[in-house]
Amino acid sequence: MDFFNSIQTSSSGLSAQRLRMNLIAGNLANVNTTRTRLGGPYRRKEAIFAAQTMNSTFNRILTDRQKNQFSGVTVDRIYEDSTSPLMKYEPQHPHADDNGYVAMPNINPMEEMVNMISATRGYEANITALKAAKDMALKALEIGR
Amino acid sequence: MPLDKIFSDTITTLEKSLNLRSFQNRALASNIANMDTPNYKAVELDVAEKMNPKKGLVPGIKLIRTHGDHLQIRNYRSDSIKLKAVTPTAYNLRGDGNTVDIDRTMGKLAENTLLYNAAAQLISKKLKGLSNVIKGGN
Repeated sequence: MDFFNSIQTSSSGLSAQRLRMNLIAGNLANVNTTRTRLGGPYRRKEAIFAAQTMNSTFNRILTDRQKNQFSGVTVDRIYEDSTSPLMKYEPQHPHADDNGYVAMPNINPMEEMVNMISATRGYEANITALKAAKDMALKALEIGR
Repeated sequence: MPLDKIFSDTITTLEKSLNLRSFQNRALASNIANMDTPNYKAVELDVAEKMNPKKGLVPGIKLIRTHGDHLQIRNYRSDSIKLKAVTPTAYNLRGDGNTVDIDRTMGKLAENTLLYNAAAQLISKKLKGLSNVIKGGN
């Protein structure tokens, strides 16, 4: 059934966009976090997406590789920003270094907001696609009724 | 009158349309899910090959065409559909190598759903009509 594959594909998109949204929320929440468990300030996280073949059986994967490159999406890895932290002069801060500077996370709230809008739209588009597949399947069930 | 003539080719043709549309839905869902995947190349159904009149002729039915504008009988075989990469629009400003045009894809999705529903409704009505005839209009 093509519809179940469609629904699975859209679901993979939903879960990937939701994870992206969670990371953005985490980035915004930790905009002032100067210490993490690993030491040092919080580092901005970003999801890297990769296309993924949705079919489980070997034969279907084989035939799909030959002609149909249908794919869902998966989070390939979570990338941690390696840019140097912003140094803020705050001598009274307990995490300040000898010169009175505190390492703050290098997070740009504007960038996060833009990514958030993009993730929301992506989520909505996947919802629409899922709903379309569901409506089509339901319509097919109505045949002969 | 042979029994299979009652059901005629209408239902078979519409059934093929349904198959094609559900396949198309899968391609669109795949493109939408990967709208933010770097280097993902959008796919679409390669319909051009299916429109080849010689390949698509319904076996056993002949239609004599005396004019270029006359109708042709075409038959779509959904088992031999191929996918091809979408040709990206001339001004693709995305720097990540992704070729999904989300606006066009959503438009196609809406169109595809409507046409699928239309075909399903046609089959339904055809069956209702047959049922009406069988029951003698009661």
